[in-house]
Amino acid sequence: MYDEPLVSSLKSIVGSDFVICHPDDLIVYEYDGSVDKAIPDVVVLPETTAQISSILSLAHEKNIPVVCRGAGTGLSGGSIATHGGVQISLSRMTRILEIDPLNLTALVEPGVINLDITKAVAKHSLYYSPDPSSQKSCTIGGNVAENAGGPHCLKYGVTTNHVLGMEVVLEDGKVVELGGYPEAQPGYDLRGAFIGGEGTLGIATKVLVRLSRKPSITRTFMAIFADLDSASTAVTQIIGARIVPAALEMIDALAIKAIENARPMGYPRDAGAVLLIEIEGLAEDVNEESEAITSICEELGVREIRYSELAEERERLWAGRKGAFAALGSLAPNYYLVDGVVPRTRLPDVLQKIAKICSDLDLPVANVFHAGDGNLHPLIAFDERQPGSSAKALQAGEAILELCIEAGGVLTGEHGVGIEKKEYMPLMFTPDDLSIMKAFKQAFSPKSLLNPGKIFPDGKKPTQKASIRVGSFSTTDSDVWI
Amino acid sequence: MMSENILSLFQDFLPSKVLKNENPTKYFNIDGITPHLIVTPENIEQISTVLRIATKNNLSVVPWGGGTKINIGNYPAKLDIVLCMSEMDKIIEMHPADMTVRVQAGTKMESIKRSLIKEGQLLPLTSPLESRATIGGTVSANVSGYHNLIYGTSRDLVIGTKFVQANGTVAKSGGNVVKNVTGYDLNKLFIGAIGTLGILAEISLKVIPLPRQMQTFLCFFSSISQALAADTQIKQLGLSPTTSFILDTNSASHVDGYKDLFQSSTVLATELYSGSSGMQKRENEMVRICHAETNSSCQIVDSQSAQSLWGQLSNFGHINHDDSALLILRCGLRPSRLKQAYDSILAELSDVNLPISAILQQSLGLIRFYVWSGGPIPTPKSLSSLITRIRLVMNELEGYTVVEQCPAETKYHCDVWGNPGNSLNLMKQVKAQFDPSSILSPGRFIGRI
Repeated sequence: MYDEPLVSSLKSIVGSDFVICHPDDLIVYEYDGSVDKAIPDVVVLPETTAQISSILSLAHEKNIPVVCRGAGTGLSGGSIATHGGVQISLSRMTRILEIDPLNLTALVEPGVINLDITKAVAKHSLYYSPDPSSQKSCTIGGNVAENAGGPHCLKYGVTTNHVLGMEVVLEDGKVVELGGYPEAQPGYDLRGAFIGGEGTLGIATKVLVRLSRKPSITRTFMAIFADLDSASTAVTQIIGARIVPAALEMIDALAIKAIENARPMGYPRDAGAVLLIEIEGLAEDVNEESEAITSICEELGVREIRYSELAEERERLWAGRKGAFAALGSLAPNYYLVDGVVPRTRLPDVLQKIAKICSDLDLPVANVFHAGDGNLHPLIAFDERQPGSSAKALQAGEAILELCIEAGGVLTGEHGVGIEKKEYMPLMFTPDDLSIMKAFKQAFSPKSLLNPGKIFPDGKKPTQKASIRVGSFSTTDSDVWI
Repeated sequence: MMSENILSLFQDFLPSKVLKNENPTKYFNIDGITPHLIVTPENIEQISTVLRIATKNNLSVVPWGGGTKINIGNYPAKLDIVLCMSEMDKIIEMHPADMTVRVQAGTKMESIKRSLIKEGQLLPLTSPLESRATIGGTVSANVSGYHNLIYGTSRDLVIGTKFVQANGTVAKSGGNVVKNVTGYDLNKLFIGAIGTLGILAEISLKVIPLPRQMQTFLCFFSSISQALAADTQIKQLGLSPTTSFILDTNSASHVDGYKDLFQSSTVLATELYSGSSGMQKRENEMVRICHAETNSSCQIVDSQSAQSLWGQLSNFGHINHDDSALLILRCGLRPSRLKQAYDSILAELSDVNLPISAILQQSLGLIRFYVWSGGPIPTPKSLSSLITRIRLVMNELEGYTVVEQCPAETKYHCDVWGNPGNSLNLMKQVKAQFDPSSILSPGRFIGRI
């Protein structure tokens, strides 16, 4: 709703060029990587911490909800202004403030794109490790909010393991520093609890990230198996052989077919699974692990195994995996991408059950996922023009999440709870578990004005279409994070 | 309240075998203060009962694992009950193929490690005195030991917790899988919180495969700068050190079995991890790095001696050690400023006229200073003013100073945690949400939380 005094106060904080309130212009801000939609009342584009602090003080005084937005690639509706109010776009806060190659840190603003950090420090042979598939467009602020992962977090950990400290603006506009350098700062690890807070606890305005040294050698394997069971066994045996690969990714049969239909990678169309395995380190160690990996795969009757440590060829080996999401568009016009985690050893069993759930509902399901850490991404394909089809996809998604919990897993490994999964939280948490989380939130945000309507079940079932991430494939989807 | 009265509050609700109001040898004491009641719960329900009654009667409760780090933190503002976790010592489930384990918080570190080794796995946290130290205490004190360069600390390894809140409510955070962003990561709050937010009852951990080969190297240099430069090279070359300690010349006399060997050298002790064929390459590189400096040398330590060495170094000067330091300061700052901090703080410390030594961990940005007895012991006031001066130096260098060990009386003159920064108010609000009556380890944390 247009609120003239609010708009003019915001204009006085950031300048009138950086306040958006015309309904036509606001539409751009109604969606993110999910298709949950809601239009904010006003969008502001601040440039400094001081401006964000003033915006929050103002909203606090007027009891107006505030939602933050990075690149809008999130997949659980984290940046959707479900309660209207002010949306803060961080697209002007994109400065890399300091690179400290001696101490392996970089201080960046929240709107900096994930991959841009790596690009900026490459000349020092350093990189920023967490690599969500959307890393070419997603921002570090969004990564902090969602505690983003990526294929390489198997060995190196997720965002929380690589963010040392933050400057944060709280609900009432106060600016605080959480964490810092070096680690083990005295006091509660508020940094750790803030990361993954999905924008409900405060707004990170500066982020101090840890940089990593590039390994001497990185070698990527692509192993093609006749069936999913052998590939899953290979995963278990590789880990059992005391090898922790940097990444361990799996593509199942339906995804292989879709990839071959869309952009052929030379996978046999009747293959049951493709495993991508990446190892790195000193040449001696990499060679030794390579031998072990090759012999494990061969003993399991691998149909074909290719490998390389040359950047270009490795890129080609990864291409099928990275382009999988776009390729899956050939299956049906719409998709529902689910994110869940199970203990790794339960993967074969859970994948079979997922196949059963979807075949019972007559829905194709493809799986491209992080096998090393049990993080599943079933992609349910459907055609929303068919009556009842969206509802069936939703039903399958819910059954899959229940299955993950039953198998000892969790609701989300890297996409976040957001709007999408808030009503499923009681599957995993008791009312007491949720109460203490709410109490924690209360300490940061007593008025609950920051990103309201996320994480916690509120019994409000949104309309069916908005309740699930039912998207349609488009050209930009090749960047979507799965 | 008298001990008998406190005891009587619990007698109707808990079996008498878990309650003890005598502490004959005064084993249970924190900075010289002893509790009125010692409760040794056997299950989570009993912990819940204790806390419910304690909250209702405004009795303070301090959890006790193996007691090896019980003296970190400020002196307790009040100590009514010690909650001894020694009976909560079961491994609940082990999933070797998933590389996770779930244990009760009172389980001894040694016992967890023994079970994991049978499966070819390792929990890469090391506490001093692992036959006594518990996982709950290790996490609560955020002790990470000496493997943390590769495997990180509790914050990288704890994937789930079940805890009892001050009012007796049982809740959990996280799960039993290695990747999880469902809800707030409250696990992090308990790490290093020394029992001020809740009582950890169960902990789920990520474990790692036993490294195929580990080799400890000792390198001898004639200066701290040389040792720091070598340490940097080891990392830059990707030789994968799991740990790295630089001992200054005065540290030598406190390392049993190495006194003669270390004499008058600056020693870099590092442990490298590798596959079975990569160690030769690492050895060659280590020799090359050391020989590049004048008057330096390098030697390999056999695995048994290495274990004793790392045990000593992770327990260096600690109160449970025969040779314990009067004062241990942990100074944290950017690694590139370590040398400057080392020089400036040694200059400040020279005033005390007591033996002083230091151990540096460059990659972690840490220096620990040890002041040893061996002369007239300074008064608590003068120790506290010394600490204040060191903090001023560290503030200039944008670092922090935590007093890890000092005579109990000194704690009445300074906050061992130092300057809490601008998030103290937020920390207090978190504490108020978790423990509104402040019965859990009151006064012991930063800013007297």
